[in-house]
Amino acid sequence: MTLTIKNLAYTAICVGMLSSCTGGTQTNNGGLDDIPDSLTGAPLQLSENVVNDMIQNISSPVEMANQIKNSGAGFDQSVLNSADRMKDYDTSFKRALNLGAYSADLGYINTFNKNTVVVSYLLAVKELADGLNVGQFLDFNTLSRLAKNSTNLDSLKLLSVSSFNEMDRYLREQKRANVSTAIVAGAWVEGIYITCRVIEQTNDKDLILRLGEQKDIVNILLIILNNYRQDANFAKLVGTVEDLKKIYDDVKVTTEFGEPETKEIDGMLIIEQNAITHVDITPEQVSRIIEQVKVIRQFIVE
Amino acid sequence: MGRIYLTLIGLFSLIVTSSGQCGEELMKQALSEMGSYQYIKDFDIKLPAASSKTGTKYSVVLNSRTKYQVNVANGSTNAENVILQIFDGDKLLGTNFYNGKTYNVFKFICSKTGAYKLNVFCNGGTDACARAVLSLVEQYSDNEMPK
Repeated sequence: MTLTIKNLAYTAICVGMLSSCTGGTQTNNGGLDDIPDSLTGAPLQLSENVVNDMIQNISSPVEMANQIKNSGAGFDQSVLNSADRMKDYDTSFKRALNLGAYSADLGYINTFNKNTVVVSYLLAVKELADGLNVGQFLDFNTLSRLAKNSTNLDSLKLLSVSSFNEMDRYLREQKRANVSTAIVAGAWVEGIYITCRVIEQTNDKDLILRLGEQKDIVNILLIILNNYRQDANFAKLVGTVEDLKKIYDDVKVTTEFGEPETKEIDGMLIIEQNAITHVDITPEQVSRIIEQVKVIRQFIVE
Repeated sequence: MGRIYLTLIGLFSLIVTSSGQCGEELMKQALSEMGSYQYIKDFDIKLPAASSKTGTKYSVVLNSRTKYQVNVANGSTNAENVILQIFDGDKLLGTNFYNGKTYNVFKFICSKTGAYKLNVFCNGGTDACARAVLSLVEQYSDNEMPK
C-alpha cells in the first residue's frame, strides 16, 4: 500500500514535470524581473556552475526538523512564518527568500504530521512559486489531497521535498541560480531559526551541537550570497550573514579523523567515517548566534 | 477519484515511454527501493561512453551523527552497474564496490558535518545511466554515536 501511494505521489511529480515542459501554469505576477535585472551590470565572481555546485552544500531543512522532533520538543506553530504574510511578498527577491522559508516550515509541519496546518502553507508555497514562474513543479491539488488523509503523510513528505528539488534543478538549468540561491538561503535561515527557538525553550545539547556545526555552512552560504551582492537586496542580506559569520568565527569545530571502515552486515554494506567532531561553543556564543539569526530571519519575513 | 489516478498514470506512462530506459522509470524504481526512510535528494546520473569510466561528481552536504542510505537504480541497458564513491575532500571514505561485488544500496554513518562529493562512474565503456536516492535513516545523540 505504501508503495502504491508512493507511486501515485511520484506520478504526480512526473505530471508536474510534464506540465513544466509544456509551459505549465503561470501567473501574471509583477516584479518577476527584479532579481535578474539588477544583476546584469557586472560580471559575477563565481560562474553559474560553481554556484550550482555550492548550493548543493546547504543543509536540508528536513534533517533539522527531524533533529528537533528527536529532541522531544513538541510542535510549536508560533515559530513559523505566518502563511498569511504570503500576500505581502511582492518582489521576486522576497518571494524567493520566503518560498525557501515556507518550504522549511512545511518540512517542520510535515515532520510533526500536522496535516491540519499544512494546507495553508502549501497554498503559500504555491502562490510564491507561481510568482516566480516555477509553480508548475508543485501539484497543489495532489499535495492538498495527500495532506487531508493521515495515511498519506509519507507520500506528502516525499512529494513536498522532491518537488522542491525539481524546482531547484529547473532554476539552475535555466541559469536562474540567483533565484535558487535566495530560496536556499531562505530555507536554511528558517530551519536554523526554528532550531534556535527550540534551543531557547529546551537548551537541548544535540541541537546546540548542530547549531555549532553550521559554521562551515554559514561560510559556504556567505560565499554564494556574496556573488550577488551587487544587487542592493542581496547586499543587505549579505551584511546580516557576515555578522553571523563573525560570531561563528569564535566557535571552534574540530575533527579527529580515524580510518573509515567498510563492512557487510547481514548483506547490507555499511560505510563508517570514524571521525569524531568536537564543537566548542559557549552559552554566550549560542545566545549571540540566536539573536543574529533572529535579525536575519526578520529581514527575510518582514 | 479512480479516473483521476488513471489519468495521472496514463500521463506518466507517456513520459516513461518517451524517456526510455534512462528516464523517470528509474526514479520510480529508486524511490520504491528506498524503503521507509526519509527522502532527502536524488541524483540523475547520465554517463556518456566517452567519459563513463572517469565519471561525474555531485556535491552533497551531510551531517554528523547521522546514518544515511544511498540506493541506486541502474539503467537496464548499462553494461555494468554504476560505482559510487564518497569523498571528504580528497579522501575516499568508501564505495559501493566491495569484495568484488557492486552493491545497489549502502548505508553511510557520517560523523562530520560538511560538504562531500559523490563520484559516480561505470566501467562498462558504454553509455550508462542510473538514479540514486539519498535518504535519512537515523540521527544519533552525541552519546549514542556508534563507536
